[in-house]
Amino acid sequence: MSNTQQAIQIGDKTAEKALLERIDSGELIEDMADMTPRYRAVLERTLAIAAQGEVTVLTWAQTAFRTCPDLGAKIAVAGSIQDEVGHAHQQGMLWERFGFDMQKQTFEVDPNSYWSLPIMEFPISNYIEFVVAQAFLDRAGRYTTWDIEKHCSFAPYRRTLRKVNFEEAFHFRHGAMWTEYFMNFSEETKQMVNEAVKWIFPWGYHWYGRPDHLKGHPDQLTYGVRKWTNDTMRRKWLKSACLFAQRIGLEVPAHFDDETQEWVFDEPFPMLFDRDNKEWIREESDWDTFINEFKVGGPMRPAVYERLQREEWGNFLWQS
Amino acid sequence: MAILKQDVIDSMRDVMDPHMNVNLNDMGMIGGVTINADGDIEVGLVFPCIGCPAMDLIKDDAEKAVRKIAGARNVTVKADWGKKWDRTMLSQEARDNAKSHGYII
Repeated sequence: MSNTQQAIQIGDKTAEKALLERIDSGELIEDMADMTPRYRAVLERTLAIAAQGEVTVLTWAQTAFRTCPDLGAKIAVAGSIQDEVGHAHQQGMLWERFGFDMQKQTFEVDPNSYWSLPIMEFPISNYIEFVVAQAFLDRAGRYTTWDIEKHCSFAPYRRTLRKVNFEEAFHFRHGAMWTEYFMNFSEETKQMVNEAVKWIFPWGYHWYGRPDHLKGHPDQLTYGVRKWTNDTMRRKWLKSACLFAQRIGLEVPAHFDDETQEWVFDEPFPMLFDRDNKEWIREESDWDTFINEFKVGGPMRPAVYERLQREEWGNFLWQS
Repeated sequence: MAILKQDVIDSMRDVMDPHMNVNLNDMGMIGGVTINADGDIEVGLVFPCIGCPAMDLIKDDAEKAVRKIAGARNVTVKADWGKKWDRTMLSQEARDNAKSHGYII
């Protein structure tokens, strides 16, 4: 079904149809005056999630800082935090063109209203967890921002993400380089990589949410804000993550199916994450339950956002 | 056949500074290159930022690239703090590239 046909289902409004015909023909929207309320709303929602989501990488990565084994690692974590704040700022500036105040949305909203992925609300226990998370989860995040850069019908959003995306590539490559290093450093560090993979890898697979057949046709796709569906991104991520794991001899819960020529996730999907024990409950759940748990978030919510709003980081940042 | 300095520079054509998405040569980051008759190569990289978070990654990428040169034996890539980087060392291509993603340099 084309987007124009989809518009007829949305409602037979002339402005909606005209806009969708322009988007369908490949035209990029530059001027906000050309937006319909519905198109504007889907961009506002996308930017809200993106800008707040980037901020919550900061509060998560900050927990890795005290686990850094040396100064180089501290610089790398600080660099990642700086990049993510930059990404929040860049998308926040675009969000402000829609009439939102990024300062208020960051420092004055209810801390419980922050949008984040629950995994960003579990503190990092050791530096190996941080680099494994970079290798797999920054890779996952990049497919979402890469899709928008390549395909978004709103041209300013494409441009906003150019620099964001090559920095995200740096983060997952940094994680990959150090994951490989720790895989080969000693038996102990190899074991720690395997332990980290057990709980981090499934988060990558769950990253994109409901499968397409349960998702319907969201406005993000109708209006060309993104082109890749949840399943498309999940497939791309799984392939890339598995090829990386294969290259460094790391075992992950997935295999290549010769018949379908696709990588297949070997664990129940979806499954729930036990927030108290920081491990997956390895039995199949349902998506409504998964999303409800998702909204509850991790153990650092909301305290970590309250601290962010107080700009209170702790003395350990200044200790060697 | 002897390895030339230009071979070393060319080998790093695809090694990028990840925060600029510009290769090291266009960034002006390739400092001293020493090659001996045995194929031992030492490259000094001039970093724009003293606390570059990508330093290890860039050195690792550069080392892998230089190792691919036929005849290369021991390859060492290290930060060259004896030289100062400044923005005049950026090539025009790097400036154009940076401009396309929002930097005016």
